Amino acid sequence: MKIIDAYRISRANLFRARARSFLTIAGVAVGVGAIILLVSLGIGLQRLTVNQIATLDILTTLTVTSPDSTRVELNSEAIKKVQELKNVESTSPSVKYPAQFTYNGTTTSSLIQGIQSENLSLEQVELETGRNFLDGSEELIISKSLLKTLGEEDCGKALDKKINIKIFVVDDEEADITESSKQVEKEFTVVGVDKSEAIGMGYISLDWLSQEAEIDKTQTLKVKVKNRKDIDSVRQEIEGMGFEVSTISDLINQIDTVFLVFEVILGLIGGIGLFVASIGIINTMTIALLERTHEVGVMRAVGARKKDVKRLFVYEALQIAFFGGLFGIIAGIALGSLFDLIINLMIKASGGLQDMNLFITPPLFALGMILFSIFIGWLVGLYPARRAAKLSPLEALHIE
Amino acid sequence: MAKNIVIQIKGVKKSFEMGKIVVDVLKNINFEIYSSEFVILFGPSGAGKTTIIDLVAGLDKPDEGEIFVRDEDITQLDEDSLAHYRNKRIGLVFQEFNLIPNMTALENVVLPLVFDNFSRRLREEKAKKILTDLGLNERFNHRPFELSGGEQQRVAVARAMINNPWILLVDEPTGDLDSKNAEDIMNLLSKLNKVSKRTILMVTHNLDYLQYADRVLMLKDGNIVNEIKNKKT
Repeated sequence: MKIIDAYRISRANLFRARARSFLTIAGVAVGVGAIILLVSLGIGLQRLTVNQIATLDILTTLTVTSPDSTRVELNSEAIKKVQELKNVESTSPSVKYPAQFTYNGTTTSSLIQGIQSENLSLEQVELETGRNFLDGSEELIISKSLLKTLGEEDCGKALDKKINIKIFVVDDEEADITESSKQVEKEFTVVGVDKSEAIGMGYISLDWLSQEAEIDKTQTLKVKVKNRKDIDSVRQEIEGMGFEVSTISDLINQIDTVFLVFEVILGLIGGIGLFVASIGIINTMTIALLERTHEVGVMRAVGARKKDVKRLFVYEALQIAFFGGLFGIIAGIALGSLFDLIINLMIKASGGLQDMNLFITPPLFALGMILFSIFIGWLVGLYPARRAAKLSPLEALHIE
Repeated sequence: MAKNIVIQIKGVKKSFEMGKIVVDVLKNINFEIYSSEFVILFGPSGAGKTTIIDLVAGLDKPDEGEIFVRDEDITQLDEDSLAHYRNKRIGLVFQEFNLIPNMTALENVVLPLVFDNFSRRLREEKAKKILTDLGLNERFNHRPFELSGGEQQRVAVARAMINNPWILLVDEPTGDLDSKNAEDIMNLLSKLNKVSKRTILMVTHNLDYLQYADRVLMLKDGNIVNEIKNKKT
């Protein structure tokens, strides 16, 4: 029997009991749709998280810190050594201190980062308005989030305004701030606003801060390598100097692992639906077999082999699974898009600007789900198909 | 010209378990059927007529004995070979027509060719020709429930004939038909025997049809008790 003929006959059989077939297909669609929706949510959240922390620049950047700042100092000499390493494109020393910001009578605590203006992109600073500060000047770039905390909603209005900043020069950003801490206080002119709505931070010139606070070493050194593949070799060399090195890739790998587990759990939750639907396929095919036992006998009497009968039943199960998978994927993606639309409308209504896609269905995942659905159809179709094939033609003929 | 033996049954015994009782349906059956013969198995209900048809069709196996069809012992064939045998060598016509209800007359007739890997075009061509020959040229796309009993049985005969088999095995073909349709079917079978030279083994318990046969094998209680040759042979 040709495959095309088996397909035609099984398709005709599928449409004989329309309501039953439709319900079984709907069952599979719900199962597949649930998996698609939940895993797409996991993938969407993963992408959202990774995109928040990783840009192309940052993927080629190493963060160097000192494990013990009293013994291995990240001073200008060490920075020079790192800068001279092969495959290192640039370095960006920076310090971060707790600070009090006062604007229009409002005071809030946050962090201030001293950095060279050319390296702002490595900190993922993206200007919403304004310009970079000049190195050595008393100019400030402030994040949108911090500006809002200070009561200024309009970024444009903040430009050229003065913000008083009291900087507590402590060994690390999490140290206790006491009145005895070394302090630097100055009025800074806002020259730019960073788009970030997540991080409350101010950025000023490292040169100015080093001079004013008399700092001769840096807390963190960002090292940009020429190519992403150079990350490991440069990392080993810097670690050889006694420093600790971390990369955003480490974090992304950790995030990916966490999300993979999350997605598998979501997939398994959705899989419960598919499992139930699989039992539905077995049930439908078993009923079909009971209804068509006599026909199986007729087919065997006119020359059908066991494997022809088996093929007819398996193909019917495969078609249920295929259509169920297809409709499930369409429904899952459509539902995800609808949720995204609603969420984005809500974000816009609450004043947010950025659209976000919480549900992302990679085409390969969708294709994989169709194939998985077909595989499940084949697996559960085998049982009734084998039963049909094993029927004695004579006994089958005698069953009405 | 000496005729060849097409079917040879040697010492066939068959019993069935009916609950705790074992019923010997065929006790010791021996006969031959020659090419182009029309043989009727005649006898009362329970005589074992249909069991013989089932055995010759390869739908069942005897407990003892051999069944040769064109010198091949079909009791020794495996499942796939039996399916090939039923598909190519014999055509089966049943009392209840046994058409598949969701298939049209044309689709029912082409079914043996589907299992024989014929192309769609060729099998439909053959089926249309045979249905037209049987007067069903306007019934190609009718489903069984849209056909009369006589038409359904003609479709069943067309299906049995489609693969050009050596032998037609016919089990009470008129049992579900009125007398007019029954006569039409008998005339059709007779024509297939005389004109197309098909070997026919038919089961009936209706005396009126014995006239169509070259030979009649009388069955009673699992034995052939008599053999009548019609004068025309």
